[in-house]
Amino acid sequence: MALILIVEDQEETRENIIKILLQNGYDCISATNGSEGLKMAIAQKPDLIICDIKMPILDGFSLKKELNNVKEHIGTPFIFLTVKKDHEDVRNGMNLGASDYIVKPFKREDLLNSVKTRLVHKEKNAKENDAKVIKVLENFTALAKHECNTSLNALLIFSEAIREASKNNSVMNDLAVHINQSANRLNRYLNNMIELMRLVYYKPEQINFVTQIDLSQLAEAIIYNQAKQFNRTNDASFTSKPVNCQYAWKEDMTILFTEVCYYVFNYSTPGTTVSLILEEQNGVIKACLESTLTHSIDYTIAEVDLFTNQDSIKSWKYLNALGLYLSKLICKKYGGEFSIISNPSNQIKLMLSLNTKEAIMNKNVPLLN
Amino acid sequence: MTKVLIIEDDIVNCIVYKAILIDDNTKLDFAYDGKDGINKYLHNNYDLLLLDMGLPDMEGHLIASAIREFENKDSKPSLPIIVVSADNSMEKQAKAFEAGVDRYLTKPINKNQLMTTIKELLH
Repeated sequence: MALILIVEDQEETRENIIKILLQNGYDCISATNGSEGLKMAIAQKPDLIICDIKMPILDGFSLKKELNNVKEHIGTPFIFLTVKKDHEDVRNGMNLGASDYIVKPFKREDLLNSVKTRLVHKEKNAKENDAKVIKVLENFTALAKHECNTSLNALLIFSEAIREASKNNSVMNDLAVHINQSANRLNRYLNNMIELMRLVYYKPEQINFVTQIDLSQLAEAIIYNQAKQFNRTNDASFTSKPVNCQYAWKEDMTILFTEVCYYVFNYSTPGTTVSLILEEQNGVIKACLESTLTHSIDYTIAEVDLFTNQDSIKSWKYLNALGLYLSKLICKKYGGEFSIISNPSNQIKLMLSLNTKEAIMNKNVPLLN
Repeated sequence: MTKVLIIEDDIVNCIVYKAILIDDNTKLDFAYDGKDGINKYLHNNYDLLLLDMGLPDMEGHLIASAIREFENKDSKPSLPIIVVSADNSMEKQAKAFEAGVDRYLTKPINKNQLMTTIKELLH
């Protein structure tokens, strides 16, 4: 049901508009001047605004000007109410981006027609814009994968080759290591961003069990590979109880286990054990990654809150936040959950669950949407 | 001597393959599009094919199915095919496996992973 904001200082007109709109199934909120209207528009994000021009404190034109600077209101239909068909007022209003105007006194049908037309138009525009955004993202993803991965391919392999060939030249060797680390970092960020776009913005893909993998073997390889990256091979511990998982899409599982392992190795104290336990029970695969963190617990909890808050776009700029956010989305995609538990001794547990292929097929697990 | 056919249109990727694979016991042949690749396949005996998915004249999976058809027709042994693609979408992977490829790796290549995969298929 559409929410309409009416900004009008004359009580009789305001109440009349509200009555007509409520009778026709719209939700209404109202303000008696431009300043109040601006605050309500920002706070409640109405689907359409009907606004008088001459009002105390802040007039209708000024309100529209202010709203033009509010990102959330780009595209919100705005209808001016004028006392008479004053061409100057109409022109000013239209120049500010108003969608329509209604001359007072108005007929009930004129008001309803204008509101209905503008809302239909807004919905059509929104769908067209969504389609454009998805097209841009698809093009970006395809191009980024091809162009960036080709360049990264060369950077990663050549830097590795230079590192091996320059064992007797420490300066050259160090430079090759730095190039390799930078390329790896860029690779991780790029592919996680692409994965995020795929999971958040595209239509959810059906889980198609294309690749048969042994999840236990994959998870073990990932934790030891991450340990090696952090020069902490002796800190890694992997235990797998029997896991019946000719499992799902390898890319999802690789990102999931790489990101959770990276997070724990990155923030835990060298010398402390990072243990990963994997098990399957009644069609649910559970993994628990445990260690002791270097940072104080308050800081960690704040970070975790930020990481797992899916509305916090700000947090995505941090690569680790993006990785944990992706982990959460992947678990959700497989009908499972992702949680982080920490205690005052800086111990942390990352726990995740995933439904097995059989469980997904049998239970018709709802996919991410 | 292991003979490897690499069908890859990007010159940088070809140099990457050279850096990883070249040694005294390996001979690399490069084809830069599908037509050239199939032609080389028909006139040589290879032990392994590394195949890109996005080629200028045809998609990689079409090359794989064409090769599998030639093998069936002429009762030739199955050539191990590894797709190495920047596209990790399920759609592309499904197409590749349906066409008969043996492994699907994504770029950027991990050297160890590529070498392990090749060893698995050749021994």
